[in-house]
Amino acid sequence: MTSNRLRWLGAAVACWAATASVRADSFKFELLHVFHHAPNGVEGAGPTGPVQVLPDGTVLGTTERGGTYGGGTIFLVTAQGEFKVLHQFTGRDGLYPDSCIVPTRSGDFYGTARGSHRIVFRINAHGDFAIVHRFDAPGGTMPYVVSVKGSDGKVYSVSGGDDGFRLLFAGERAAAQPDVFSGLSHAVPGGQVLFAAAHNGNQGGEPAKVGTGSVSICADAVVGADDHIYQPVPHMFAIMRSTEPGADDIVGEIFSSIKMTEDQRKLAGAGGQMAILPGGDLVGITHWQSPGEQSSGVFRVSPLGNVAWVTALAKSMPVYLSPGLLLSTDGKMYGLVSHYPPDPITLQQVTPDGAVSNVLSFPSQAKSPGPLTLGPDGALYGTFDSYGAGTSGAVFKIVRQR
Amino acid sequence: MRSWALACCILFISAAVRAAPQPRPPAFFGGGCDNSPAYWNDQGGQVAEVAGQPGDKLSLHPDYPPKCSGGSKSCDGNAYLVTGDRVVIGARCSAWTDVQFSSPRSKSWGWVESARLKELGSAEQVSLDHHAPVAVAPPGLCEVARDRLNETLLHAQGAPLFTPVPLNFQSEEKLPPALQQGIDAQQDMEDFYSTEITNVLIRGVRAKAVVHSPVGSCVPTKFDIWTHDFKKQLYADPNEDPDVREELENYGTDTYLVTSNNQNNEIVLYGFTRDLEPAQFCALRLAPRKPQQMIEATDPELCNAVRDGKTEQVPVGEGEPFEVAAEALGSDTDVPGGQWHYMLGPTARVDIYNDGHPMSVAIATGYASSDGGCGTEIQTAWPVVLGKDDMPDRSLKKIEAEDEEAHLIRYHGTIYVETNSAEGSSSHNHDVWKASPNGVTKVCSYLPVRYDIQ
Repeated sequence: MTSNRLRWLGAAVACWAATASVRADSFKFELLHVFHHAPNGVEGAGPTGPVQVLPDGTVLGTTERGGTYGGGTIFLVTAQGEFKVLHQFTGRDGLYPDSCIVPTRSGDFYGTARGSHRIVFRINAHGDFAIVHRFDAPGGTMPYVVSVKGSDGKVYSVSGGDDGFRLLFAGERAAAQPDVFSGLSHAVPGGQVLFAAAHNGNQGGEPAKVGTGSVSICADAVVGADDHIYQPVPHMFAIMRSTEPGADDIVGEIFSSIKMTEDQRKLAGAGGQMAILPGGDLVGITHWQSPGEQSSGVFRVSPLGNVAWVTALAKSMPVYLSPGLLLSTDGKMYGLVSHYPPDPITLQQVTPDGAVSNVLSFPSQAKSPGPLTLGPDGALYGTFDSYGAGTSGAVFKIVRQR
Repeated sequence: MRSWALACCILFISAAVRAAPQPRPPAFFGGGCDNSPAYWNDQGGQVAEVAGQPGDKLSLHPDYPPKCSGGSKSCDGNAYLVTGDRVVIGARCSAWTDVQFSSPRSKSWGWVESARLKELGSAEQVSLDHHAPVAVAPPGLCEVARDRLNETLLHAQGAPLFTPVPLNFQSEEKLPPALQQGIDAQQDMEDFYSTEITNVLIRGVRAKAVVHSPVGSCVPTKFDIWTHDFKKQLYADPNEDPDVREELENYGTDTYLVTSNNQNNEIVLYGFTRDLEPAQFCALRLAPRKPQQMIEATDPELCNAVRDGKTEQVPVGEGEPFEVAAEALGSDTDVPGGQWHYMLGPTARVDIYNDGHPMSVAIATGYASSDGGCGTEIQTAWPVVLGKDDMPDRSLKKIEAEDEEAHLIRYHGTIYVETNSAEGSSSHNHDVWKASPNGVTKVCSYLPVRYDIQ
């Protein structure tokens, strides 16, 4: 073997090694169920996620609309693809369930629904349904006390009402929380706020407060490693942060556009889930309302509250909407992104160092994706609000191809 | 000869009597450019109107101006006429006309510039006081307004009181720049308006109405009135009450400002003075009509009993009302024009079809806000038969008796549905229905309110 040949061989090996080390992950998606809702049909309409995935692969979720009485449903899809409606909301038991249901150690799931009274319900995989709490709702807003598990392992007690929400307690166990919520906090992945409140729709002027809207189990707020609560507020061009961890203090500190650096100004449209990295950084995604106006991208909030712009997404496919990012078992973050028609929905992969790549494109009939859930099998589960003409949504999973 | 001399004597005496010194006898003759006395006839003279911009003055000179020496008080005087005043005209000399102006309390005479006078015709045909300030409503006007409003109530029409002054919104006329800047500056601080300009004729005066319509807000439409050349604002609309709607309307030969208050159901009629100042003529307020006026009575005995409160209320109250989706009540439930929310309950076990088969019946109530969410709440209610899951059974014909409140009544053992407008509602209905599996039939209809002059 001549030295020349050796050099060529060495180069080839090096090339293979380099290629192997940067080979992009490959993903495929599988439809678990497509909803076909007819007026007053049993099957619900509009699953919005995130769904819950049981150890045996059964997927549980809610539809906000549809069902025989139009009030929404709770459904189940087995690993074998069998679809079953566990409960249909009539109004007596609430209406229009929120998209998130939370599992407990006992195997029950808790969720919230609206209607003349906001309710907290419990259901199991057999469809046994019970209302466990009914809020009085004067004027549509109600005070509440709920528990939050922080990424530091502590439990936070949060009170909400007309003037925002307050941190009442931070410690090993929550105080002043209704019994109904006991045992829920342990199940909160990554410090997701269990029962927080959506903002009340302020469109400017007054700073929006987390907590002046309605109780929702699906709030995008998270507890950061610094014990502050963070929530992106798309229309405020801001990330909100509680003023003081553990203090009886109204949440209201905003990374306002006035104080922002140029990078921070790019936070307009930040919304949806934020992923929490092991070091405590929060990572989220932004979108813009006008195509081509400015690229959307990924931002990062440090435990000290510093907000930084990480990566711009491709300007050629402006982001219309994103339900946020989810940290997966491979240490990378994933998020579904809607683009302007005719571009399809894509799955974006974000590495901890900020590299973004488009790893999967969905069929064009898929519309309005919901937040992703990480299943026990490592797959990502999600929902579409619509999946082509005559349909009213779909449930799917995304698996990594080996 | 004696008789001729006698006749001459009589004629002479007669002329001497007429010529006897007395202030302005009621006949026009004589007079001339030399300040000789003029005599006036209010009934037979020619009438002219002072032309010009509203409020413009026209000096009334006591003596014939060309013969005056400068600065003489007898020439300049202090009196003046204003645009719209009507006068009887006398001698015309060169560019000047001798006129008489009659006010309710006194008369004035003098010389005015002929160019400012517009002849209207004989005082026998043309009223002399047409443009006198309006202080009270013309006789019978308020009664006519009241009767028209009650007629509108009877036919459940939302018709205007009289004839709305047509507003030409197609006009592309623009405001003078200075005026537009003022409006723009005001709108920066307040709600956004779209502004339209249209020609109006109010009390014979050509003018411009500038209509400001709010965009995406609950502020009411406002209008200002300007002279036709925008040199002077004649009327500035002070209305900032979102419950008050205003309209310029014509009745007879006059124009009125009509305001309707949704909140207290009051309608106020304003007239305009000659200076286009609005003056309130009458206020008409909605009041209960006792006894209610019966409009329709298929079963007079039943209808009289309902009107006189001699029927039995069917007790309901099983279960607390709860919100339901529109789909639960049938796909045809949603009424356009608002975001509707529906409540179901309370319920009762009752033989609503009067066929010997009692059923579970609930009252369904729909709520919505109209007027783009600007405070007007509307409500509709009707009974529904319940089936599986104690939810509305859509296999049965929906009972549609839409109104604001609904409840069940019993009379001589028969069940009826009574619907009533809620208190404070803008509609004024009271009906009685009989239900069957095929739907409902109206049995009685009443008019529960009437307009009274305050």
